[in-house]
Amino acid sequence: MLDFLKPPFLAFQEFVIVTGRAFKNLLRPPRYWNDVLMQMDIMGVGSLPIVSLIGGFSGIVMALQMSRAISQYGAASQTGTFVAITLVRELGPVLTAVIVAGRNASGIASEIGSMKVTEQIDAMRALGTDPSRKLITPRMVALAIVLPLLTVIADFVGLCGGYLIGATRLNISAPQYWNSAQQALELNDIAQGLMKPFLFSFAISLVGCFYGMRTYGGTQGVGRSTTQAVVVASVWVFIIDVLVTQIFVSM
Amino acid sequence: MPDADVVLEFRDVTVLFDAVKALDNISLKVHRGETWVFLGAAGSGKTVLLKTAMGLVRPDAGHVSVFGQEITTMEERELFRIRAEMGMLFQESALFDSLTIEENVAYPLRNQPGREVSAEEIHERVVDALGFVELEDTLDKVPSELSGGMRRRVGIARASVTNPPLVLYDSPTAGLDPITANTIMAFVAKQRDLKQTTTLIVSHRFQDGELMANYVFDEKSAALQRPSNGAAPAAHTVFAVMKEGTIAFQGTQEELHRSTDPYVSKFGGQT
Repeated sequence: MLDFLKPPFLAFQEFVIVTGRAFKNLLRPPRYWNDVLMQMDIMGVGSLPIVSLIGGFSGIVMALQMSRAISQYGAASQTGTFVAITLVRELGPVLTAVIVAGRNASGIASEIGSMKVTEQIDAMRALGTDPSRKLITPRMVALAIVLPLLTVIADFVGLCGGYLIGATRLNISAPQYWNSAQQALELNDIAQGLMKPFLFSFAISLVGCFYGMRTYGGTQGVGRSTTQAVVVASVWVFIIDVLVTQIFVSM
Repeated sequence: MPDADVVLEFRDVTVLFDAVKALDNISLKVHRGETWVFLGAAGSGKTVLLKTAMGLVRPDAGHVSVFGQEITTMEERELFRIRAEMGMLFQESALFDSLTIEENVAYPLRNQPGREVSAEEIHERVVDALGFVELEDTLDKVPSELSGGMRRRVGIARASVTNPPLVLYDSPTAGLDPITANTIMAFVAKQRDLKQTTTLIVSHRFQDGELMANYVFDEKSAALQRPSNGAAPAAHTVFAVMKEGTIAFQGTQEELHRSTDPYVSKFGGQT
Protein backbone atom coordinates (compact mmCIF):
# COMPACT_ATOMS: atom_id res chain seq x y z
CA MET A 1 0.00 0.00 0.00
CA LEU A 2 2.75 2.40 1.00
CA ASP A 3 4.72 1.55 -2.13
CA PHE A 4 1.65 2.31 -4.15
CA LEU A 5 1.20 5.75 -2.57
CA LYS A 6 4.85 6.76 -2.61
CA PRO A 7 5.26 7.90 -6.24
CA PRO A 8 2.27 10.30 -6.30
CA PHE A 9 3.34 11.82 -2.99
CA LEU A 10 6.90 12.24 -4.18
CA ALA A 11 5.63 13.77 -7.41
CA PHE A 12 3.45 16.20 -5.47
CA GLN A 13 6.34 17.13 -3.21
CA GLU A 14 8.48 17.77 -6.28
CA PHE A 15 5.67 19.84 -7.79
CA VAL A 16 5.50 21.98 -4.65
CA ILE A 17 9.26 22.57 -4.83
CA VAL A 18 9.09 23.54 -8.52
CA THR A 19 6.19 25.89 -7.76
CA GLY A 20 7.96 27.45 -4.79
CA ARG A 21 11.04 28.11 -6.87
CA ALA A 22 8.99 29.59 -9.72
CA PHE A 23 7.49 32.13 -7.30
CA LYS A 24 10.80 32.80 -5.54
CA ASN A 25 12.37 33.69 -8.88
CA LEU A 26 10.09 36.73 -9.02
CA LEU A 27 11.90 38.25 -6.04
CA ARG A 28 15.43 38.27 -7.42
CA PRO A 29 16.93 39.10 -10.83
CA PRO A 30 17.62 38.00 -13.50
CA ARG A 31 14.05 38.23 -14.80
CA TYR A 32 13.32 37.47 -18.41
CA TRP A 33 10.59 39.94 -19.38
CA ASN A 34 11.09 39.32 -23.09
CA ASP A 35 10.21 35.69 -22.56
CA VAL A 36 7.10 36.75 -20.63
CA LEU A 37 5.98 38.90 -23.57
CA MET A 38 6.73 36.14 -26.05
CA GLN A 39 4.74 33.63 -24.02
CA MET A 40 1.85 36.08 -23.66
CA ASP A 41 1.79 36.27 -27.43
CA ILE A 42 2.05 32.49 -27.96
CA MET A 43 -0.44 31.50 -25.27
CA GLY A 44 -2.72 34.53 -25.16
CA VAL A 45 -2.99 35.78 -28.72
CA GLY A 46 -2.60 32.25 -30.00
CA SER A 47 -5.55 30.97 -27.96
CA LEU A 48 -7.79 33.92 -28.80
CA PRO A 49 -9.58 32.43 -31.86
CA ILE A 50 -10.44 29.08 -30.27
CA VAL A 51 -11.40 30.64 -26.94
CA SER A 52 -13.72 33.17 -28.63
CA LEU A 53 -15.25 30.46 -30.77
CA ILE A 54 -15.98 28.16 -27.85
CA GLY A 55 -17.20 31.13 -25.76
CA GLY A 56 -19.59 32.15 -28.54
CA PHE A 57 -20.96 28.65 -28.98
CA SER A 58 -21.48 28.14 -25.27
CA GLY A 59 -23.47 31.41 -25.12
CA ILE A 60 -25.59 30.25 -28.06
CA VAL A 61 -26.21 26.83 -26.55
CA MET A 62 -27.05 28.29 -23.14
CA ALA A 63 -29.60 30.66 -24.63
CA LEU A 64 -31.07 27.89 -26.80
CA GLN A 65 -31.42 25.50 -23.88
CA MET A 66 -33.07 28.13 -21.75
CA SER A 67 -35.25 29.63 -24.41
CA ARG A 68 -37.79 26.85 -24.19
CA ALA A 69 -37.88 26.56 -20.44
CA ILE A 70 -38.07 30.24 -19.69
CA SER A 71 -40.59 31.17 -22.36
CA GLN A 72 -42.97 28.67 -20.73
CA TYR A 73 -42.86 30.86 -17.63
CA GLY A 74 -43.07 34.01 -19.69
CA ALA A 75 -39.62 35.02 -18.55
CA ALA A 76 -37.99 35.25 -21.95
CA SER A 77 -36.90 38.79 -21.20
CA GLN A 78 -34.63 37.39 -18.51
CA THR A 79 -32.47 35.46 -21.00
CA GLY A 80 -29.67 37.99 -20.55
CA THR A 81 -29.68 37.39 -16.81
CA PHE A 82 -29.34 33.64 -17.10
CA VAL A 83 -26.70 33.71 -19.78
CA ALA A 84 -24.67 36.37 -17.98
CA ILE A 85 -24.66 34.65 -14.61
CA THR A 86 -23.85 31.16 -15.88
CA LEU A 87 -21.19 32.40 -18.25
CA VAL A 88 -19.40 34.83 -15.99
CA ARG A 89 -19.48 32.73 -12.86
CA GLU A 90 -18.86 29.31 -14.21
CA LEU A 91 -18.85 28.40 -17.87
CA GLY A 92 -16.59 31.17 -19.14
CA PRO A 93 -13.73 30.55 -16.69
CA VAL A 94 -13.94 26.76 -16.73
CA LEU A 95 -14.38 26.25 -20.46
CA THR A 96 -11.63 28.75 -21.26
CA ALA A 97 -9.31 27.11 -18.75
CA VAL A 98 -9.99 23.61 -20.09
CA ILE A 99 -9.34 24.74 -23.66
CA VAL A 100 -6.21 26.60 -22.64
CA ALA A 101 -5.10 23.54 -20.65
CA GLY A 102 -5.61 21.38 -23.73
CA ARG A 103 -3.77 23.79 -25.95
CA ASN A 104 -1.07 25.25 -23.72
CA ALA A 105 -0.37 22.75 -20.93
CA SER A 106 0.35 20.29 -23.73
CA GLY A 107 2.37 22.88 -25.64
CA ILE A 108 4.45 23.75 -22.58
CA ALA A 109 5.00 20.11 -21.59
CA SER A 110 6.00 19.02 -25.07
CA GLU A 111 8.30 21.99 -25.66
CA ILE A 112 10.09 21.69 -22.32
CA GLY A 113 9.99 17.88 -22.56
CA SER A 114 11.72 17.91 -25.95
CA MET A 115 14.32 20.30 -24.56
CA LYS A 116 14.84 17.93 -21.65
CA VAL A 117 15.38 14.80 -23.73
CA THR A 118 17.72 16.57 -26.17
CA GLU A 119 19.80 17.91 -23.25
CA GLN A 120 18.89 21.53 -24.00
CA ILE A 121 17.89 22.00 -20.35
CA ASP A 122 21.34 20.82 -19.27
CA ALA A 123 22.91 23.04 -21.94
CA MET A 124 20.97 25.99 -20.53
CA ARG A 125 22.40 25.35 -17.08
CA ALA A 126 25.86 24.82 -18.53
CA LEU A 127 25.66 28.15 -20.37
CA GLY A 128 24.62 30.31 -17.47
CA THR A 129 20.82 30.30 -17.21
CA ASP A 130 18.57 28.72 -14.64
CA PRO A 131 15.81 26.83 -16.53
CA SER A 132 13.39 27.57 -13.71
CA ARG A 133 13.89 31.32 -14.27
CA LYS A 134 14.15 31.20 -18.02
CA LEU A 135 11.37 28.71 -18.79
CA ILE A 136 8.99 28.23 -15.87
CA THR A 137 8.55 31.66 -14.29
CA PRO A 138 7.94 33.50 -17.61
CA ARG A 139 5.26 30.97 -18.60
CA MET A 140 3.63 31.22 -15.17
CA VAL A 141 3.54 35.01 -15.22
CA ALA A 142 2.37 35.17 -18.83
CA LEU A 143 -0.55 32.81 -18.31
CA ALA A 144 -1.57 34.51 -15.05
CA ILE A 145 -1.95 37.72 -17.08
CA VAL A 146 -3.58 36.36 -20.22
CA LEU A 147 -5.99 33.73 -18.85
CA PRO A 148 -8.24 36.26 -17.02
CA LEU A 149 -8.19 38.42 -20.16
CA LEU A 150 -9.09 35.47 -22.37
CA THR A 151 -11.90 34.62 -19.99
CA VAL A 152 -13.31 38.16 -20.18
CA ILE A 153 -13.27 37.91 -23.98
CA ALA A 154 -14.90 34.46 -23.94
CA ASP A 155 -17.59 35.80 -21.59
CA PHE A 156 -18.27 38.75 -23.86
CA VAL A 157 -18.42 36.67 -27.04
CA GLY A 158 -20.68 34.22 -25.19
CA LEU A 159 -23.03 37.05 -24.21
CA CYS A 160 -23.12 38.13 -27.85
CA GLY A 161 -23.97 34.55 -28.83
CA GLY A 162 -26.76 34.56 -26.29
CA TYR A 163 -28.06 37.82 -27.69
CA LEU A 164 -28.06 36.33 -31.19
CA ILE A 165 -30.46 33.60 -30.05
CA GLY A 166 -32.47 36.02 -27.91
CA ALA A 167 -32.97 38.40 -30.83
CA THR A 168 -33.72 35.77 -33.46
CA ARG A 169 -35.80 33.25 -31.52
CA LEU A 170 -37.20 35.09 -28.53
CA ASN A 171 -37.66 38.56 -30.00
CA ILE A 172 -35.77 40.25 -27.22
CA SER A 173 -34.56 43.75 -27.98
CA ALA A 174 -30.94 44.71 -27.54
CA PRO A 175 -31.47 47.10 -24.58
CA GLN A 176 -33.64 44.52 -22.86
CA TYR A 177 -31.01 41.78 -23.20
CA TRP A 178 -27.97 43.84 -22.29
CA ASN A 179 -29.68 45.66 -19.43
CA SER A 180 -30.82 42.43 -17.83
CA ALA A 181 -27.37 40.94 -18.31
CA GLN A 182 -25.70 43.96 -16.74
CA GLN A 183 -28.09 44.15 -13.79
CA ALA A 184 -27.72 40.45 -13.10
CA LEU A 185 -24.00 40.70 -12.49
CA GLU A 186 -22.86 41.71 -9.05
CA LEU A 187 -19.37 42.50 -7.89
CA ASN A 188 -19.22 39.05 -6.34
CA ASP A 189 -19.84 37.39 -9.73
CA ILE A 190 -17.20 39.42 -11.47
CA ALA A 191 -14.67 38.85 -8.70
CA GLN A 192 -15.38 35.14 -8.89
CA GLY A 193 -15.19 35.19 -12.69
CA LEU A 194 -11.73 36.78 -12.57
CA MET A 195 -10.35 35.02 -9.53
CA LYS A 196 -10.99 31.59 -11.03
CA PRO A 197 -8.99 32.00 -14.25
CA PHE A 198 -6.19 33.68 -12.29
CA LEU A 199 -5.88 30.61 -10.07
CA PHE A 200 -6.46 28.15 -12.93
CA SER A 201 -3.57 29.73 -14.81
CA PHE A 202 -1.07 28.54 -12.19
CA ALA A 203 -2.39 24.99 -12.33
CA ILE A 204 -2.10 24.95 -16.13
CA SER A 205 1.32 26.55 -16.55
CA LEU A 206 3.01 24.90 -13.58
CA VAL A 207 1.62 21.44 -14.30
CA GLY A 208 2.75 21.80 -17.92
CA CYS A 209 6.24 22.90 -16.87
CA PHE A 210 6.46 20.24 -14.16
CA TYR A 211 5.67 17.36 -16.51
CA GLY A 212 7.94 18.82 -19.17
CA MET A 213 10.86 19.05 -16.74
CA ARG A 214 10.52 15.46 -15.52
CA THR A 215 10.34 14.01 -19.04
CA TYR A 216 12.61 11.05 -19.68
CA GLY A 217 12.86 8.36 -22.32
CA GLY A 218 13.09 10.10 -25.68
CA THR A 219 10.21 11.09 -27.93
CA GLN A 220 7.91 8.54 -26.35
CA GLY A 221 8.53 10.22 -23.02
CA VAL A 222 7.55 13.58 -24.52
CA GLY A 223 4.21 12.13 -25.63
CA ARG A 224 3.62 10.67 -22.19
CA SER A 225 4.41 13.95 -20.43
CA THR A 226 2.15 15.89 -22.76
CA THR A 227 -0.84 13.63 -22.12
CA GLN A 228 -0.26 13.62 -18.38
CA ALA A 229 0.06 17.40 -18.32
CA VAL A 230 -3.30 17.94 -20.04
CA VAL A 231 -5.13 15.39 -17.90
CA VAL A 232 -3.68 16.58 -14.61
CA ALA A 233 -4.06 20.28 -15.45
CA SER A 234 -7.73 19.77 -16.39
CA VAL A 235 -8.44 17.85 -13.19
CA TRP A 236 -6.80 20.62 -11.15
CA VAL A 237 -8.93 23.21 -12.93
CA PHE A 238 -12.08 21.46 -11.72
CA ILE A 239 -10.73 20.92 -8.20
CA ILE A 240 -9.84 24.61 -7.89
CA ASP A 241 -13.22 25.50 -9.38
CA VAL A 242 -15.05 23.58 -6.67
CA LEU A 243 -12.95 25.16 -3.93
CA VAL A 244 -13.34 28.73 -5.19
CA THR A 245 -17.06 28.31 -5.87
CA GLN A 246 -17.49 26.94 -2.35
CA ILE A 247 -15.77 30.02 -0.91
CA PHE A 248 -17.84 32.47 -2.95
CA VAL A 249 -21.12 30.66 -2.31
CA SER A 250 -20.61 30.80 1.43
CA MET A 251 -19.62 34.46 1.38
CA MET B 1 52.98 17.37 -11.35
CA PRO B 2 52.26 19.85 -8.56
CA ASP B 3 48.71 19.94 -7.28
CA ALA B 4 48.37 23.61 -8.19
CA ASP B 5 48.07 22.37 -11.75
CA VAL B 6 45.04 20.22 -11.02
CA VAL B 7 42.12 21.55 -13.04
CA LEU B 8 39.56 18.92 -12.17
CA GLU B 9 39.55 16.45 -9.31
CA PHE B 10 37.15 13.65 -8.39
CA ARG B 11 37.55 12.12 -4.92
CA ASP B 12 35.58 8.90 -4.31
CA VAL B 13 32.63 10.17 -6.31
CA THR B 14 29.49 8.06 -6.41
CA VAL B 15 26.36 9.02 -8.35
CA LEU B 16 23.16 7.04 -7.93
CA PHE B 17 20.25 6.92 -10.35
CA ASP B 18 17.55 5.33 -8.25
CA ALA B 19 19.41 2.28 -6.95
CA VAL B 20 21.86 2.00 -9.85
CA LYS B 21 25.38 3.31 -9.42
CA ALA B 22 26.02 5.46 -12.50
CA LEU B 23 29.42 6.38 -11.06
CA ASP B 24 30.94 4.09 -8.49
CA ASN B 25 33.63 5.53 -6.23
CA ILE B 26 35.56 7.35 -8.94
CA SER B 27 38.77 9.24 -8.22
CA LEU B 28 40.83 11.08 -10.79
CA LYS B 29 42.98 14.17 -11.22
CA VAL B 30 43.11 16.11 -14.47
CA HIS B 31 46.10 18.45 -14.76
CA ARG B 32 46.31 21.64 -16.77
CA GLY B 33 46.95 21.02 -20.46
CA GLU B 34 46.17 17.31 -20.35
CA THR B 35 43.83 15.54 -22.74
CA TRP B 36 41.69 12.81 -21.22
CA VAL B 37 39.93 10.31 -23.44
CA PHE B 38 37.16 8.31 -21.77
CA LEU B 39 36.23 5.15 -23.63
CA GLY B 40 33.63 2.60 -22.65
CA ALA B 41 30.40 0.87 -23.56
CA ALA B 42 27.08 2.72 -23.62
CA GLY B 43 25.75 3.16 -20.09
CA SER B 44 29.17 2.85 -18.49
CA GLY B 45 28.87 6.31 -16.94
CA LYS B 46 30.91 8.43 -19.34
CA THR B 47 28.28 11.13 -19.87
CA VAL B 48 27.39 11.21 -16.18
CA LEU B 49 31.06 11.77 -15.40
CA LEU B 50 31.19 14.87 -17.63
CA LYS B 51 27.92 16.19 -16.23
CA THR B 52 29.17 15.67 -12.70
CA ALA B 53 32.34 17.59 -13.56
CA MET B 54 30.13 20.50 -14.70
CA GLY B 55 27.96 20.34 -11.60
CA LEU B 56 24.92 19.39 -13.68
CA VAL B 57 24.64 16.16 -11.71
CA ARG B 58 25.28 16.22 -7.97
CA PRO B 59 27.23 13.32 -6.52
CA ASP B 60 25.58 11.24 -3.80
CA ALA B 61 28.95 10.71 -2.17
CA GLY B 62 32.46 12.08 -2.61
CA HIS B 63 33.83 15.42 -3.72
CA VAL B 64 34.41 17.17 -7.01
CA SER B 65 36.59 20.22 -7.33
CA VAL B 66 37.14 22.37 -10.38
CA PHE B 67 40.02 24.88 -10.53
CA GLY B 68 40.65 24.08 -6.87
CA GLN B 69 37.13 24.96 -5.79
CA GLU B 70 34.88 22.39 -4.24
CA ILE B 71 31.66 22.35 -6.28
CA THR B 72 29.85 19.47 -4.59
CA THR B 73 27.99 21.66 -2.14
CA MET B 74 27.85 24.85 -4.21
CA GLU B 75 24.54 26.54 -4.88
CA GLU B 76 23.39 26.71 -8.48
CA ARG B 77 24.05 30.49 -8.53
CA GLU B 78 27.69 30.02 -7.60
CA LEU B 79 28.02 27.11 -10.01
CA PHE B 80 27.23 29.45 -12.91
CA ARG B 81 30.47 31.28 -12.13
CA ILE B 82 32.48 28.04 -12.31
CA ARG B 83 30.69 26.83 -15.43
CA ALA B 84 31.58 30.08 -17.16
CA GLU B 85 35.18 28.81 -17.07
CA MET B 86 34.19 25.57 -18.76
CA GLY B 87 32.80 24.67 -22.16
CA MET B 88 30.79 21.60 -22.98
CA LEU B 89 29.75 20.00 -26.23
CA PHE B 90 26.71 17.86 -25.56
CA GLN B 91 25.85 14.62 -27.25
CA GLU B 92 23.75 15.55 -30.32
CA SER B 93 24.94 19.16 -29.72
CA ALA B 94 21.86 20.30 -27.71
CA LEU B 95 21.56 23.53 -29.68
CA PHE B 96 18.46 25.56 -28.78
CA ASP B 97 16.15 24.96 -31.70
CA SER B 98 14.11 28.10 -31.21
CA LEU B 99 17.20 30.30 -31.61
CA THR B 100 19.32 31.09 -34.66
CA ILE B 101 22.90 29.86 -34.91
CA GLU B 102 24.15 33.33 -33.99
CA GLU B 103 21.91 33.48 -30.91
CA ASN B 104 22.96 29.97 -29.94
CA VAL B 105 26.66 30.78 -30.03
CA ALA B 106 26.07 34.16 -28.35
CA TYR B 107 24.08 32.51 -25.53
CA PRO B 108 26.92 32.09 -23.01
CA LEU B 109 28.22 35.61 -23.75
CA ARG B 110 24.80 37.08 -23.09
CA ASN B 111 23.79 34.95 -20.14
CA GLN B 112 26.79 33.93 -18.09
CA PRO B 113 27.13 36.01 -14.94
CA GLY B 114 29.85 38.63 -14.83
CA ARG B 115 30.16 39.08 -18.58
CA GLU B 116 29.62 42.66 -19.66
CA VAL B 117 30.04 42.32 -23.38
CA SER B 118 28.67 44.91 -25.82
CA ALA B 119 26.39 43.82 -28.66
CA GLU B 120 29.06 44.57 -31.29
CA GLU B 121 31.68 42.59 -29.42
CA ILE B 122 29.29 39.67 -29.02
CA HIS B 123 28.68 39.66 -32.76
CA GLU B 124 32.41 39.84 -33.46
CA ARG B 125 33.21 36.97 -31.12
CA VAL B 126 30.37 34.84 -32.48
CA VAL B 127 31.64 35.35 -36.04
CA ASP B 128 35.15 34.48 -34.83
CA ALA B 129 33.99 31.33 -33.06
CA LEU B 130 31.97 30.21 -36.07
CA GLY B 131 34.92 31.02 -38.32
CA PHE B 132 37.03 28.74 -36.14
CA VAL B 133 34.79 25.81 -37.17
CA GLU B 134 34.40 27.20 -40.71
CA LEU B 135 30.70 27.94 -40.44
CA GLU B 136 30.66 31.75 -40.51
CA ASP B 137 27.98 31.79 -43.21
CA THR B 138 25.32 30.10 -41.07
CA LEU B 139 24.64 33.00 -38.67
CA ASP B 140 20.96 33.43 -39.53
CA LYS B 141 20.08 29.78 -39.97
CA VAL B 142 18.29 27.72 -37.33
CA PRO B 143 19.69 24.40 -36.08
CA SER B 144 17.16 22.28 -37.99
CA GLU B 145 18.58 23.61 -41.28
CA LEU B 146 22.03 22.20 -40.54
CA SER B 147 23.36 18.66 -40.91
CA GLY B 148 24.39 16.61 -37.87
CA GLY B 149 28.07 17.33 -38.43
CA MET B 150 27.46 21.07 -38.83
CA ARG B 151 25.41 21.13 -35.64
CA ARG B 152 28.28 19.44 -33.85
CA ARG B 153 30.60 22.18 -35.15
CA VAL B 154 28.22 24.91 -33.97
CA GLY B 155 28.20 23.09 -30.61
CA ILE B 156 32.00 23.35 -30.53
CA ALA B 157 31.78 27.06 -31.38
CA ARG B 158 29.24 27.61 -28.60
CA ALA B 159 31.39 25.68 -26.10
CA SER B 160 34.51 27.65 -27.00
CA VAL B 161 33.21 31.18 -27.69
CA THR B 162 34.09 32.26 -24.16
CA ASN B 163 37.62 30.78 -24.48
CA PRO B 164 37.26 28.49 -21.46
CA PRO B 165 40.43 26.84 -20.17
CA LEU B 166 38.60 23.51 -19.73
CA VAL B 167 36.43 21.98 -22.46
CA LEU B 168 34.39 18.78 -22.20
CA TYR B 169 33.22 16.90 -25.29
CA ASP B 170 30.47 14.32 -24.95
CA SER B 171 30.68 11.85 -27.85
CA PRO B 172 31.69 14.43 -30.46
CA THR B 173 31.71 11.85 -33.26
CA ALA B 174 28.73 9.66 -32.32
CA GLY B 175 26.45 8.95 -35.26
CA LEU B 176 28.70 10.64 -37.84
CA ASP B 177 30.33 9.10 -40.89
CA PRO B 178 34.12 8.57 -40.61
CA ILE B 179 35.02 11.58 -42.76
CA THR B 180 32.81 14.01 -40.83
CA ALA B 181 33.99 12.42 -37.59
CA ASN B 182 37.60 13.18 -38.50
CA THR B 183 36.68 16.76 -39.38
CA ILE B 184 35.06 17.17 -35.97
CA MET B 185 38.12 15.70 -34.23
CA ALA B 186 40.33 18.10 -36.17
CA PHE B 187 38.34 21.01 -34.70
CA VAL B 188 38.60 19.48 -31.23
CA ALA B 189 42.38 19.22 -31.65
CA LYS B 190 42.49 22.75 -33.12
CA GLN B 191 40.73 24.08 -30.04
CA ARG B 192 43.17 22.20 -27.80
CA ASP B 193 46.35 23.10 -29.63
CA LEU B 194 45.69 26.72 -30.59
CA LYS B 195 44.00 27.76 -27.36
CA GLN B 196 45.86 25.42 -24.99
CA THR B 197 42.76 24.08 -23.34
CA THR B 198 42.54 21.15 -21.01
CA THR B 199 40.32 18.67 -22.82
CA LEU B 200 38.07 15.82 -21.72
CA ILE B 201 36.59 13.67 -24.46
CA VAL B 202 34.05 10.92 -24.08
CA SER B 203 33.88 8.54 -27.00
CA HIS B 204 33.21 4.98 -27.99
CA ARG B 205 35.73 5.21 -30.85
CA PHE B 206 39.33 4.43 -30.09
CA GLN B 207 40.36 6.35 -33.23
CA ASP B 208 39.22 9.61 -31.59
CA GLY B 209 41.65 9.02 -28.75
CA GLU B 210 44.36 7.89 -31.11
CA LEU B 211 44.02 11.14 -33.08
CA MET B 212 44.19 13.24 -29.96
CA ALA B 213 47.22 11.37 -28.63
CA ASN B 214 49.34 11.32 -31.76
CA TYR B 215 48.36 14.28 -33.90
CA VAL B 216 48.53 18.02 -33.55
CA PHE B 217 46.63 20.64 -35.43
CA ASP B 218 48.88 22.34 -37.93
CA GLU B 219 47.82 25.92 -38.49
CA LYS B 220 49.49 26.30 -41.91
CA SER B 221 47.92 23.31 -43.58
CA ALA B 222 44.77 23.64 -41.42
CA ALA B 223 44.79 19.90 -40.85
CA LEU B 224 45.86 17.27 -38.34
CA GLN B 225 49.46 16.16 -38.66
CA ARG B 226 51.86 13.98 -36.77
CA PRO B 227 54.50 16.13 -35.05
CA SER B 228 57.39 16.33 -37.56
CA ASN B 229 60.18 15.28 -35.19
CA GLY B 230 58.33 12.12 -34.27
CA ALA B 231 57.75 13.34 -30.73
CA ALA B 232 54.45 13.06 -28.95
CA PRO B 233 52.26 16.19 -28.97
CA ALA B 234 52.79 18.70 -26.22
CA ALA B 235 49.45 17.81 -24.70
CA HIS B 236 49.80 14.69 -22.60
CA THR B 237 46.97 12.27 -23.36
CA VAL B 238 45.51 9.97 -20.72
CA PHE B 239 43.21 7.13 -21.70
CA ALA B 240 40.54 5.91 -19.30
CA VAL B 241 38.21 3.00 -19.95
CA MET B 242 34.95 3.00 -18.01
CA LYS B 243 32.97 -0.04 -17.06
CA GLU B 244 29.68 0.02 -15.13
CA GLY B 245 30.45 3.27 -13.36
CA THR B 246 34.06 2.49 -12.49
CA ILE B 247 37.33 3.31 -14.20
CA ALA B 248 38.54 -0.09 -15.38
CA PHE B 249 41.75 1.27 -16.88
CA GLN B 250 43.75 4.47 -16.74
CA GLY B 251 47.04 5.10 -18.50
CA THR B 252 48.86 5.97 -21.70
CA GLN B 253 48.11 4.69 -25.17
CA GLU B 254 50.90 2.09 -24.97
CA GLU B 255 49.61 0.82 -21.65
CA LEU B 256 46.15 0.54 -23.14
CA HIS B 257 47.52 -1.47 -26.04
CA ARG B 258 49.31 -3.79 -23.65
CA SER B 259 46.28 -4.36 -21.45
CA THR B 260 45.17 -7.98 -21.37
CA ASP B 261 41.84 -7.31 -19.66
CA PRO B 262 39.21 -8.63 -22.11
CA TYR B 263 36.90 -5.61 -21.63
CA VAL B 264 39.63 -2.97 -21.74
CA SER B 265 41.36 -4.44 -24.77
CA LYS B 266 38.13 -4.09 -26.75
CA PHE B 267 38.70 -0.35 -26.63
CA GLY B 268 42.44 -0.58 -27.23
CA GLY B 269 42.33 -0.55 -30.99
CA GLN B 270 44.49 -3.70 -31.22
CA THR B 271 41.94 -6.13 -32.50
